[in-house]
Amino acid sequence: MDQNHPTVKRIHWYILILTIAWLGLAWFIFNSQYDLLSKLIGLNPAKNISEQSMFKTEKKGTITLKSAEDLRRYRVGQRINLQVLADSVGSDIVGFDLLFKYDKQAFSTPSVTTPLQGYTVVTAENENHFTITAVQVPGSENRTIFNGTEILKLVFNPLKVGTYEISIIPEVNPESTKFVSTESQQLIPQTATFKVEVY
Amino acid sequence: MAQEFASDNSKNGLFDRLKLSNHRGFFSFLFVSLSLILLLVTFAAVQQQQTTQSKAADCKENGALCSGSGSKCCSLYCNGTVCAEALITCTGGISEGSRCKSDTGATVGTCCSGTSCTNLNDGTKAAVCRKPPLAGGQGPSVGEIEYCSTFNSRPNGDIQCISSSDGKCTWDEARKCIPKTTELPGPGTGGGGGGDSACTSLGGRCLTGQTGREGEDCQNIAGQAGSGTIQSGLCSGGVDRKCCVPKSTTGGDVNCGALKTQATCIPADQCKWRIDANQCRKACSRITSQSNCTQYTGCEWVNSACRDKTGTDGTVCKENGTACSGSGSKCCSTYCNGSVCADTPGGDGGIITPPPGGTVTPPVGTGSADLNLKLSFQGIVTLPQTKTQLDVRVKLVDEQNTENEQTGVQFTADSNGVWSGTASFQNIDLGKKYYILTKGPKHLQKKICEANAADPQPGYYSCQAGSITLQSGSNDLNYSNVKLLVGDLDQNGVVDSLDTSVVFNALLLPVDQRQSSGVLESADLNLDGIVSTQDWGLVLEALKIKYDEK
Repeated sequence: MDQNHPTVKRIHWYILILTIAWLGLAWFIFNSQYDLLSKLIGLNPAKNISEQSMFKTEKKGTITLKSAEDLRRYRVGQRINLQVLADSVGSDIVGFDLLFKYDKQAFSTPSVTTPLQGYTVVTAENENHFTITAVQVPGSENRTIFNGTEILKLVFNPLKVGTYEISIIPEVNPESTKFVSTESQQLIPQTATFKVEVY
Repeated sequence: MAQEFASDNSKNGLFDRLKLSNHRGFFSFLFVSLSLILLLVTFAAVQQQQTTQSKAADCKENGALCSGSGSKCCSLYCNGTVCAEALITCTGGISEGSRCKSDTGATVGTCCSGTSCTNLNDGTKAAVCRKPPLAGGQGPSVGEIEYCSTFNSRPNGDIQCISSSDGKCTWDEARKCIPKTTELPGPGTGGGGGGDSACTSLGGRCLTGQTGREGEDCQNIAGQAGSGTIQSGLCSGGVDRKCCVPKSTTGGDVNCGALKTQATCIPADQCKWRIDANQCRKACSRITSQSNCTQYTGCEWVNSACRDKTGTDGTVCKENGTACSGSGSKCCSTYCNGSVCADTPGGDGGIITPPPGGTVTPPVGTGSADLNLKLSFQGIVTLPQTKTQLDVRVKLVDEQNTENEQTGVQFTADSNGVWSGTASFQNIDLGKKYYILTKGPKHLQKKICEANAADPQPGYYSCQAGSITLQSGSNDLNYSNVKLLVGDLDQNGVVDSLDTSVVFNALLLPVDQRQSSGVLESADLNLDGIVSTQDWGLVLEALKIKYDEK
């Protein structure tokens, strides 16, 4: 028995190491599947607008900005046709709000249209940002699950030489960039920035 | 035990090869096996959860999420609340809230309630829901719109609009099948078919980019401008509801000068009607340079910004059409002395006599003031069906922007849809001028600066500086001509897609559910006992204004 003692001790260490390794692996798998970390961060009441609202919120989806011309350099006065592409990760969307930020000295107010059937767009110009709200109207028949779908077309007119960013920003209290689903659930997508050089 | 196990299997070649015939090897084997098993279980759980999740929410590949028990996802199609092998078109508005759209033709069954369903013998065998005939004077409901638009989504897209058979639909110039009666009951009209409608992606005012027609009403099929009537800042009419965006849409620099009448001189944040010049001009707030600002009559440059000249006592009112705060909200042709017009500063009004220099001396001192307010909420013009009392927040703000707030002020409706309530404020300076901020339970906050304020168009009253003077005791302030726009359902100070989604999603429900207390509480904005397109029109109108006034 005394001879076995060191072996038993080693086995205990072995058990401990294996248990920790397994727990770590399990955590890794769960986290990669469900992004637990970001969900935990998202529970911070000071940062998550779901805590300020009666509606459910989930961080889900992406928004991409792309120029229709596939250019990054434009002349002053040359129109920038910006496409907004969205992915709602399977959720059926009935409306969305996008908050844009850009240098108002460098661009005139953009004109906005949507290629989405049965949607109406309302824009609002604020001091430091530009809000676009698009909502599906009753009677429209299409389900709108965004899957790399072009949801807006914006035309910017560059006014000044320089390098600028046109960004979709997540939040300007009390507004936020979001998709809204058929269950009136808010989906907070990852936002995007378009960099452009005007010469 | 382990030793026994090992010794029992000591002759086993496999155990020998794996070195399991000692403690270390045995426990290694045991824990590695356990770990693998646990890993497999984890993966299985994850997979299971993913499958469940996609069934419950995504249904991306295989049709709609059924709204029946368990919110199951159908492998083929969702027919209302049940899964089906063939997809049923049930787009007739008063359907079960399903969003299944196709037309393979099949039994209609559970899809429609309160409607009869008809198979059309036009080759596609599409089944559509017909709703009962409309009562006289009513415009098309969601059902009507859906009913007609069904024909747009047919495979060939050009079959027939069946206007000849039922008289409810007609082709527009782009061969879209639309309701023949395009005038929806307007907000505030109580469903009387006032001509306002939810101006969606159609109709309204042409913005920049539509060459030669900037700022003007949409062109109709015959090239005749403005044949669709424009009321209350919304658009209605038929064939002209195509080329433009809603009237109050910003982001296109509305050419105010092209708007020829006071009624069409909107939106208020873009254009302002100048009574003196009988012209629609750019709103002062849109002018960015001082030199341009001072050129505009009625604008003044203050704190590096261009703003409307305010009609303070003794100033010339007629230049900017500022209404006098006296009875009738009249605009003075020459001078406004407090609440009366006069030919000279401090002249013949007879009520308020300013001292030399033209400044009216207000009453001074502090005291308590009861504000007996009469308010009007957009969309309610008669005694509401479901609620006759609402809690309103009232703020009294002085010239230094000091706020005095009363929450939960109870307002009671009368048979004309006018709401009365009293907000009491203690220890206020009676020598100051105030403006009032009012916010209803689902409404945008409204700023009111004058004692007798009135909307030029429903919901479009706006003002800058407060001119309300108060006396100790009762102060009667009738704002029944200023509509509080409804639509800020989550009361966060902004109307956005989340607010509209509540009404939109309620409209997808069957009639009986749209009348249930829970749905009414959240989405019945005009308190008429059912969630309908009128509520949608109201929230859309509020979306155009969008923010609380401050």
